[in-house]
Amino acid sequence: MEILKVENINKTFDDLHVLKGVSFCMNKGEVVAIIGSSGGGKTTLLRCLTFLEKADCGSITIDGDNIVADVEGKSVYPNDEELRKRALKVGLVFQDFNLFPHKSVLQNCTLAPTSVLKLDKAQAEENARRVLEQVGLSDKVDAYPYQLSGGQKQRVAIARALCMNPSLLCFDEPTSALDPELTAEVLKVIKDLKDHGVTMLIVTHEIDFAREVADTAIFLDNGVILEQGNAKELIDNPKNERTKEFLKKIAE
Amino acid sequence: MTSSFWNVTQELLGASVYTLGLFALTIIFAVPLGFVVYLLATCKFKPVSALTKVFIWIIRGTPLMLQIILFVFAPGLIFGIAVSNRFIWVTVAFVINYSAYFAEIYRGGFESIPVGQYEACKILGMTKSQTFFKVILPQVIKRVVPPMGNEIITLVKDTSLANVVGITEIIITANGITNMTGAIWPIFYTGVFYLIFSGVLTLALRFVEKKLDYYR
Repeated sequence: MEILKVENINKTFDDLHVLKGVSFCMNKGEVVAIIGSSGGGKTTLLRCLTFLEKADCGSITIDGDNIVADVEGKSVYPNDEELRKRALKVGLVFQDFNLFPHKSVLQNCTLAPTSVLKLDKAQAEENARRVLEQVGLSDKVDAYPYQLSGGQKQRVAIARALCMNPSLLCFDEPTSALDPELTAEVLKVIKDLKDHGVTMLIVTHEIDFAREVADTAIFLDNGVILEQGNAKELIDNPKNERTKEFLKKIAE
Repeated sequence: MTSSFWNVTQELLGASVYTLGLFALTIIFAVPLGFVVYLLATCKFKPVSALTKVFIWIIRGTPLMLQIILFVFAPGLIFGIAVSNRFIWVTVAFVINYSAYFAEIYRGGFESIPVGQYEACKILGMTKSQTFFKVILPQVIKRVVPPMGNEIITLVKDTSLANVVGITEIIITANGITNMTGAIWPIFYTGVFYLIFSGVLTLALRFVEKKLDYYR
């Protein structure tokens, strides 16, 4: 079953053509890694798919819902209120966490479920505790973000996103802001989510991780998908010259 | 009139009503009005924000004493109506003056909230008002309490400026006693009143800051 379908996404900032017709699909339970050098458009693509940016043209369909339609070469978005509701199907884990500093770990995970999904408090807390256990933070439910390490913060951010029960969970370089020794605990959680069948789209610099966890890898360079395919194959035996060059540089 | 300690204390306590009243009214009205000024200063409609910025510049760029004089005498000079209750117009001058300062404090508070907080709310599907009241405002309050505290302590002492238009606040009352009895100490004694008042406020503000100290 198709969870995400992106067609011909274009995005321009002033004179900078960042995305030049990006198209791809994702199936339920699939894990896709987007790799590529900085400035290649990875983050912009992710921000378009999570509706933090609006694409200029192209269409986006999430879980069967054609949220962004392409009408005569222009992306057409629903009004803000409509978009807010329909965009709930997609979650995002930020590079720098963006936890709510004034809320405890548990409250970070229950704020949106109670205020947006209108769950009652007890049920939201029960869900949150279950998800926090899944990411290994049962002992931190009452802590505040400033009391946590970077890896723990990122795991809270993952839990917060999961509590909204998204059809698609996106990650924007989830380990870039972390010390190397903290990276492992976050990657382990993501791997565990894959085993639980969570559909994930991950922008990452961790090539080894992408190779291990992702089913599909997409090499995005200069705003276009240059290569796309089985993650292990693409990373071990890239066909495209630019991909080869990029992977070689990363390996150094 | 005598300059006995008890007598002077009673006189000054009586005058404190003006000082305390002016202080309380300024806080009650300038705290919300400052927020309105902040909103106008950040209004997307350029003429409004530009005009508001000029207003803030004038208010912060001229002495409060001058503004008090203006508000008390301008109605008479322009419309030919003498101000019957000077205390009201002095209060208006204080409210307007402090709202300009508070607006700047609010601006600093809101601008210090990282854009990531708004994006996190958006991605979680929160509405604009949920974002504002549940996420942004609580963090802004924590950040504006210390600078607001500074302004509030300044306000305690600024209330003495009301005597420029003859409001019988503490200092002018003490001055009157000195003129009548020849004793100079009542003037200095007023400092004790200000110290007690600002001391209580300092403790209260510290209490609030402590309350908000549960996160960073």
